[in-house]
Formats: sequence, C-alpha cells, structure tokens
Amino acid sequence: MLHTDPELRKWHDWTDPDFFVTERHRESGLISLLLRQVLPASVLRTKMTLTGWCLVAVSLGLGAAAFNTTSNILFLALSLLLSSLILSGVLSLINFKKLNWDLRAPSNLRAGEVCAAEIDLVNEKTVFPSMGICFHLQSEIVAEEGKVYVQNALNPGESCKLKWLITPQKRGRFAMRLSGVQSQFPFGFLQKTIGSDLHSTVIVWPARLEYTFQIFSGGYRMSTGAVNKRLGQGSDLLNIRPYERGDAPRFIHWKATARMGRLMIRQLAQEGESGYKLYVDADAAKWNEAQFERLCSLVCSLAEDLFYCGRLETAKLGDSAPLPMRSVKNLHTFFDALSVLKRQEKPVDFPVNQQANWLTFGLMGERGVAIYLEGKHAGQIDD
Amino acid sequence: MRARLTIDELHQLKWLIGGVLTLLSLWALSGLDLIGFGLNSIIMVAIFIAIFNPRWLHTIPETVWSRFVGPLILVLVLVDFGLGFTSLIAPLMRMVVWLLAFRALAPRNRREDLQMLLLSLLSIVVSGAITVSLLFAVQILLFAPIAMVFLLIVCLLDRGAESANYRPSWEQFSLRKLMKRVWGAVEIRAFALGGLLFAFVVILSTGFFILIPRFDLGQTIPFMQMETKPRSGFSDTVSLNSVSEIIKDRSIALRLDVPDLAAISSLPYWRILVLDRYQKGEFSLSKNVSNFRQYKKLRELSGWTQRRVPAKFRKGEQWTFYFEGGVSQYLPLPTMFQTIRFTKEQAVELLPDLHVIGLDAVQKSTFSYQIDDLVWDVRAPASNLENKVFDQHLSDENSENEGVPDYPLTTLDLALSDDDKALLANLNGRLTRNTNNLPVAEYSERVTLYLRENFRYSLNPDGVQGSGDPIVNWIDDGSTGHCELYAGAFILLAREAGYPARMVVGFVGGSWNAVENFFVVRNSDAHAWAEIYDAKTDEWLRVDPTPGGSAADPEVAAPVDFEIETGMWAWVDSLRMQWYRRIINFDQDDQVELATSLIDMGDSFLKKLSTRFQELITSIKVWISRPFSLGDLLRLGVALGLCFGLYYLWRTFFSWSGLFLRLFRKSEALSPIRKRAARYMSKVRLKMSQPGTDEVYAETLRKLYSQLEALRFGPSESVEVAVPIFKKTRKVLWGRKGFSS
Repeated sequence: MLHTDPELRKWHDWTDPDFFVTERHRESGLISLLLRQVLPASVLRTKMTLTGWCLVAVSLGLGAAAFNTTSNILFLALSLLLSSLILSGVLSLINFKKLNWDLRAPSNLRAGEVCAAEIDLVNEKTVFPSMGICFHLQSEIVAEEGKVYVQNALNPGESCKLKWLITPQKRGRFAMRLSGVQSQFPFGFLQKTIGSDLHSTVIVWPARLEYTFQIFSGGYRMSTGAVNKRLGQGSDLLNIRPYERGDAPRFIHWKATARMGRLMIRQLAQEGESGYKLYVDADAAKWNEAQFERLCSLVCSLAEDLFYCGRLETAKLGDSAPLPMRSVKNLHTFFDALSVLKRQEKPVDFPVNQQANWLTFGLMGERGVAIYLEGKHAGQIDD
Repeated sequence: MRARLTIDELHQLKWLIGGVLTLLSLWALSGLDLIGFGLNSIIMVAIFIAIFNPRWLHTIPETVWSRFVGPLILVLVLVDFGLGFTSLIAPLMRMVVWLLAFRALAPRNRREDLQMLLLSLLSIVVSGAITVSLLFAVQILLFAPIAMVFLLIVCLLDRGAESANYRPSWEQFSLRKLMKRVWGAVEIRAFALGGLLFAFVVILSTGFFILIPRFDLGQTIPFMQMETKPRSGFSDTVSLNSVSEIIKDRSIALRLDVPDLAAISSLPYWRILVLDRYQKGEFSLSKNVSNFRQYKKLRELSGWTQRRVPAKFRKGEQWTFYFEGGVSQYLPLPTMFQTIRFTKEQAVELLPDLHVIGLDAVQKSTFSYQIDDLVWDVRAPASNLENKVFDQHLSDENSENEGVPDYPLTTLDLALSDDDKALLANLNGRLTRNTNNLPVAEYSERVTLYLRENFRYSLNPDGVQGSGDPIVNWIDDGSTGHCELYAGAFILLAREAGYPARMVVGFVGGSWNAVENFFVVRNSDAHAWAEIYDAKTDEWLRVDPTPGGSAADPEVAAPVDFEIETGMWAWVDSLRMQWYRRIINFDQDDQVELATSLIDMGDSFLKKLSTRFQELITSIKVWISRPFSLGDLLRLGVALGLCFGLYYLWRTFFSWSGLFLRLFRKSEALSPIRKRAARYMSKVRLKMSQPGTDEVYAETLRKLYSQLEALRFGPSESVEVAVPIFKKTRKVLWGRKGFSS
C-alpha cells in the first residue's frame, strides 16, 4: 500500500515485518470456497484433487454404510476420515502462512544463452516447516509455463533460492510473471493455489555472432588537436567513481576506498589510440526483418568486443543521441537500447561516412551484413 | 544441519511404508476366517521379503507385472468367483488380498499408491465391521499415522509429469542404511509435531464420533430390520450340545459392578431360563407357559412375591449388570433378589412361576440393569400354583396325564419309550435300593454321585447315538458327557422316580478382573443344571450333577471359586469391555445421556459459582459490618495501594517502557509508541481496504493513517502527542465516536 504522504513514501523501516508485504487475496467463507471450485479464478483457489475426491467418495460410502447399519466401527472410520480432511486443510493453511517469496528476474540475458530466474523463498514461521511447494512462472520468452518445485522441506526460519532455467530465442523486452504458488501439502487431498502478482520485465540482448573485422591504419589516427579523455587501459588516472557491479577488482582505488568508507574505482585514460564510434542505421527501407536481427546481433557482438579492447568511444542507434561508452553500465545501456531497437520508417540523415572512426553497417548479399569504417569495408558476417 | 533425504531415498521409504500398510491390512483380514491361512501367510512372507530385500523384486521388468502377473491374478479372481458363486464375501475378500499383494509387490506410480491405500483402508474397515474386535482400534490407530506419512511422501514426490514414471535405483539399497538415513533426517521436533498433530486427529475424530447423529434406520425402515438371534443354548428350545457350543466362546457375556468382592459369598449361579419340557433330546419351555406370561412395561420390579430376600441378607447392596447383546432375550438373575431396576421404562416379559424375566426382544447391544440385594440359595420357594398342582398330583397316586400336560406337570412328564422308562426305573431301583419316598436331597445326592462316578466330563460326549432317547442312550452306553447330559440324565431319573424336575440354563461362576475391579462372566461359563421339587418344604432345590465346583450334596452351597484375573490380559479385558461399552454400543441414547450430563455439569458448575459468589458477598458484608481493626485497615491500604500501582503502571506504560529501552540500549525503532502505531496502522489499513466504506469515513481513516505513519516512521514524538492520536484511532476503529472530529 502506498503512503498517502509523498514525503513519507521515502521513509523505510525494516523493523516492521509487514511493511513490504503485499496484501494477499484472502479466501473467506464457505460459499466463496465452494464457488471457487467451479468458477475460474486467477488468484487464490482451493481445489480438490483426485485423491481428495476419492476421500470424499469413500467418506460418503462409509457414511451411508454407517447410517444404514448403525455400525460404530464405520462411524469411527468415517470420523477418522473427516478429521484427516480437516487436518489436511489446517496444514495446507499453515503451509503458506508467513511464507514470503520474491522473483528476481535474470539480468544480462542474451538470446540463445541459458539463464536463470531466481525465486527467493523464506519461511518466517517459528514452528512449522513448509513443504511440497511449486511455483508457476510465465514469460513471453518461452511458450510453456514453467514449474519450479521446492525440493526439500523449508524449516522454520530457513530460506532458499530456486532457479528457473530458460533460454530466450530472440532479443527484446519481455514480461516475466510469477503467476501462482501451488501446493498439495500435506496429503494431496487439496490443491491450494495462491495467485501472485509478482512480475518483472527482462531485456534480452541480441545473440552473439561470429564475424570478421579487419582494422586498417585509418582507425588508429588521432584527429589533430583532439584531446583524448576517453577511458581506457592507460596509466593516467582520469577519474574515481563508486564501485559498480561488474567492475574488475584490480581497479579498486584502495586509498580512496579507505577515505570514503566504500569501494571506489579508478578510471584510467586511454593511451595513444583513438576509439571507434558505432552508428546503427535502423532504416526500414534498408533492412528487412531477418537482416535487421542479424545487424543487431553483429552490432552487439562488435560493440562488446571493442569495448573490452578499450576501443569503443561512442555508439548511436538510429535517431537517438550518441551514447558515450565510459563504463560497463554504458555498454549495458546501449545493449538494452539495442534489444528493443526497431526498424525506423523515417530515414535519418547522419553523414558518418566522412567522419573519423565511425563504423557503419550495410547489407551484403541476401543475409550478410558488412562493417564499414569511414565508408570503407572493414568486416562482415556472411550469409 | 540435518541430512536431507534424496528423491531415491524418499521413493524407497514410500515403498517400505506401502509394504507395512499391506501387512497391516493382511493382519486385519486374517481375523475374518474367509481367506485361507495359507494364502494369507504366503503373501505376508512375500511382502516381508520385499521389504527387507526389495532388490530382487525390482529386477523383474515392469512388462512382466503388467502383461503376465496382472492378467494371471484376474483369471484367478474370476475362477474364485466362479467356484464360490454361492457366497460373495469370501471370494471378494480373497480378491482384495490378491490386489493388495499385486499393488505391494509391483512397481507403483501415484495412482497405484492411492489404489493400494484405498484397498488397505477397505480391508481394515471391512474386517473391523465384521469382527467388531478391539484389534480394529489397534489397527486403525496404526493405519492412520502410517497412511498419513505415506500420503505426505507421495505428495512430496509429486513433481508433475517429470516424476510420474520415475523409478529409483535399488542397486545400492540397504534397509539398515535407509533407516539410518531416515533417523538422521528426521528431527525430534518433527516427531513431537507429528505426535501432536496425530493427537489432534484423534481428539477431532472422537468429537466427530460423539457428535455424528445416529439414526437407527433399522428401527424406522422395516425391510432393513436385522433380527438379532439369541444363542441357541439360551433360547426357548435347547437341543443337546447347544450350551456346550457356547462354552467354546471366551467372549464376555456379562459384566457386574459389584459392591465388594466379599459380597460374592458362594459360587454364583446366574439363572437365565428354566426349561420344563423334555422331548426327543430337546428341553424347551412348554407352550402353555405363555398362559401365565405377563407382558408389562416397568421401570422397577420389587422381587417375586414368593421369593423375597430374607431380612438378614438385606444390606442395601447394589449390583449393576451389563448384559451383552445377542446372548439371550432373558436376563441372567440370581435365585432371589429384592428389587430390579431398569434405566428407563422397559417392555418386559415376566414368568413369575419360573422366576424368569425376559425382554421384549434380544438386545443388539449391551443392556444394563440394577439389582438391590441378591441371594444364590440352593433352595428357593416354589410358586402357589406349583405347590397346588403338585399337592394334588402327588396325593393322587393313580393320576395319569392324558395328552400333553400343562406346566408344572410338564416337570414330571417322561415322553419316552417303554424300554427307556424301564431302563431308568431299573437304574432308579438300584440307586434308591427300591426305597420309596427318599428325601429329595438324599435322592439327588445318590444320583449325582452315581453320575459323577460313572461318567467323565467332556465336551465331546459318547454313547448318545442310538435308536432310543439320546439321554437314556448316554446313561446306558456313555462314558463321557457335558453339563446338559448330566443335568438331563438327572432330570429324567428324577421324573421317573416321581420327583418334579426341570432344567435351568445360565452361567455359573465367573472371574474377577483385578485391574478395574469388576466381575466378568464369559460365554465359556455357560452351564446347565437341574432344579428338583421338594414337596416337603414346597421348594425347588438346585442340583448340579456335573462334576466340578459343587458338592454332591445339593444342600451344601458350592464354595466361592473363581479366577482372579490380573496382568496384561485382565487389562486387555477391561479395555475390551470399555471398547464394547463406549465405542461399539455407543448410540443415540448415549448421545442424549452425554448431552444431559454435560448440561447437568454446566448447571452444577453455575450453581457452585453462584454459591461461591453469594458466600463472597456475604463474607464482604460481614467484613464491612464488623468493626475495623488495625490489621484490616493495613490490608485494605495494601490492596488499594496495589490497585493504584497497577493503574499507574498502565497509565505510564509508554514512559517506563521507553526507559527500559534506553536502559537496555535497544533500538529506538522498538519504542512502544512506534510499535503501537504500527499495530493500529495495520488495523486502519484493513479498514480502508474494506469495500463499501463511505467517502467521509474513508477520508477520516486516511488522515488518521497519516498521523499514525508520522508516529511510526517520523521523528520521535512525546507521549502527550501520541496518546490522543491512539485514543482517536480507537474511537474511529471501534466506536466511530470520533468520526465527526
């Protein structure tokens, strides 16, 4: 629930256990429970399983026999069956009590590579364990609904991480949803499903491709009077910034870290060479759908390689503003943008061919894509 | 950290538990006598082997089970049904055994696991319903937790399609290793929790068992009425061997809550029925007895007119009888009693001349009644009718009965051939040395001695067969016999000698259960003896010619000689008694009785409470009215001081709890104001989320929520600021009095 006061929205208090808990839908009342047996429900639903129906049928049979014969043996068996059904309901209810979960969508996804969405599961109960839990996950990345089972009992106070392995086939922005949590615990009479509203968006980067790229002398020259303040692998210290996920430990500036009380990273200047600038022309008239996908994959692969060689200076996608490549974060931002890049109907007038160190791309054959440096052929992917 | 069982180990454990459930079911079915001992034993041994060494079983390919073993069992079952088409139950139960064996030995998926469980449940319930044995309680109490663990494992192993056809590896299986792993994986806490949950199930089941309404449909729907027949030895007609058949049954027939063990001064003879007529080896209650049968509805009967307990024996002792259902329509009674009392108005059938009381029908369940003061005397007065008829008959020596005589002359009737009569007369002549009018007691003693010297007791008599009367044949040719033959022989000889005599069936003796201090009479105590009419005293004299506890002289009462049961079996007996009384015979009347006693308990509790309260008020009044001493004033001062102190602590809760936090250096976030604000916030949140809240009220809640948020997450506020907000929250939430403010 959102705070009514905008200022208070910024406040956090970890001591309140219910502060971050999203209110779950509650299922109350017998009529509601019975109605949910027949009505489709996307949220909380308690359904009888085949075992449960068997139990009901056996109970009915025993009850009929007991009333017909007035045999207390049969009444005793009937009582035991009814009480086990009630115990099943109570344990099923307890199983989900104080059980919290969170969906962590995978980051840095790349088409064609296996990745794992994580579910953090915590049992905050003090006495009862939670068992036999199954998470239902849906994503546009894969056609089928995923099911992740908790392998062992989760004892009180314990937590665990569950992984859902998926392999995205294409780039883009996709929704990922934890649609429900299901359990037949303890005896499999009832199947209880709790609808979950946990969802996340994942961005799948284009797949990596094999390509050729020949650097010729033009790419090395420095423009007259140009000041190289690009980040690189040189020895001059260019900047100090806070640590970010993915930074190499060898770049940690220990003195600054000690002074600031948090990890700080050295940023060094590029030595000697100038970097390349990437321009992706997303003109729909130039590329068809398949060619454009290969273009994106090539751009992604090339940009990554150039960046880690310290040779990527700027990247520009279609009509968007050029994005300087100073850190891994910049590269990932570029990949994110590339993942959702669409062919543009309106051509962009950006004369890069005559400018220094600009890499552009053009069609080669039916499916091949060529790389041009200052308008000259420098590499390609074949058909 | 405890070890966790792997999927393979869970599958193996499930397999073992399945085997145990099957064994339990086979144990239950073995009590039915419908399945051959051999078949049951072979299958049980096979399952034992499968539990201890399942590896060999899992080397058999699944196709063998599905294509060969399954069809083979089907053929066997069909043949069994074909051969035993006259009775359905036995082949049906054998089919259940075959299916159980198949499910226990063949590889199982989830569906087959459930089938096995249902079959096991069916076996135990059917067996319990048929045998009504205490073992059912043991079996179902074992079955329930094992089945629950089994279902739990099945549930844990269910991982959708991927687990449907999973087969564990058995190559490295070792039962010992598995048990060790299970022991290592299960925590003591899990055991305790499991025990608690099982106790919960038992308590809940008990509640259901008591509360499920009982409708005796058999009483309301005529075609469903199941007639309960009495034991053949205790019915109106008793053939030879009928009583002896009952002796083979060790089950309890009668339980008595007696005032004291010392109250049983002689060997008790429990008279159930008197049989006056004898014909062709059958003793029966003659038809004309119905002429003087009395059908009444009564709650209490003050003894028999002619049979009053002598004043010296009247001690006001109460004997409560619990007579099991299905034994007899007639009640086991002592020779004489003062008063008999029933729990409600009861339809009874009185036979005053025979001193027998019968119910309107054979009871299906335990029937209880109470008797005040009783006596087992060897002699009991005869009725006026009997005395009158016998006086007339005995005085007229030439009187001859034509046709079928009426009671009590039936006790003199000898429906025998002349040869048989001659044989009896010959024997009588030898026994009495041709002396006429021998005193009854002396005659009885001589006959008894003769029978005891010439015959041995056995349940397998000889010499009964032949063309003549079976009892006369036995007297002539037999050497071993049972109580009916001894009593029958005595009666025929007595009648031939001119003494009226009749047979009495019932129980003799019993045993004392030292565990719960009650007297038990079993069906194995069934007995037959004789009563002979003494014309001199106008009394019936009990004669028990069967060798055993009683003396040959009928005037000497047999000494008390009964077994005192102690130890485990006595405990089991008392448990069994409770089982039959509390569980098997629990009915609508018990439900009403239980409800009534609960209401009575509630009433008595309220009365006690009210009395205590009134006593308290009276004592306060007395205390106020008397002059105050210094001690009183001091006590009053201390009490007031305590009250004031508690009130002050309550009012200053925030201040002193905050002080404690600071003292113990606890986080400021744990401040009682913040905690209370959090608690109220959740309640306000809940109220806000309720649909249908009107806008003005919702606005008030929103404002209140903001204030509570400020208290909860904002800078620390003083008690003076917080308390009015809490007060207002309470009013808005529960009173809506602060709604306008």
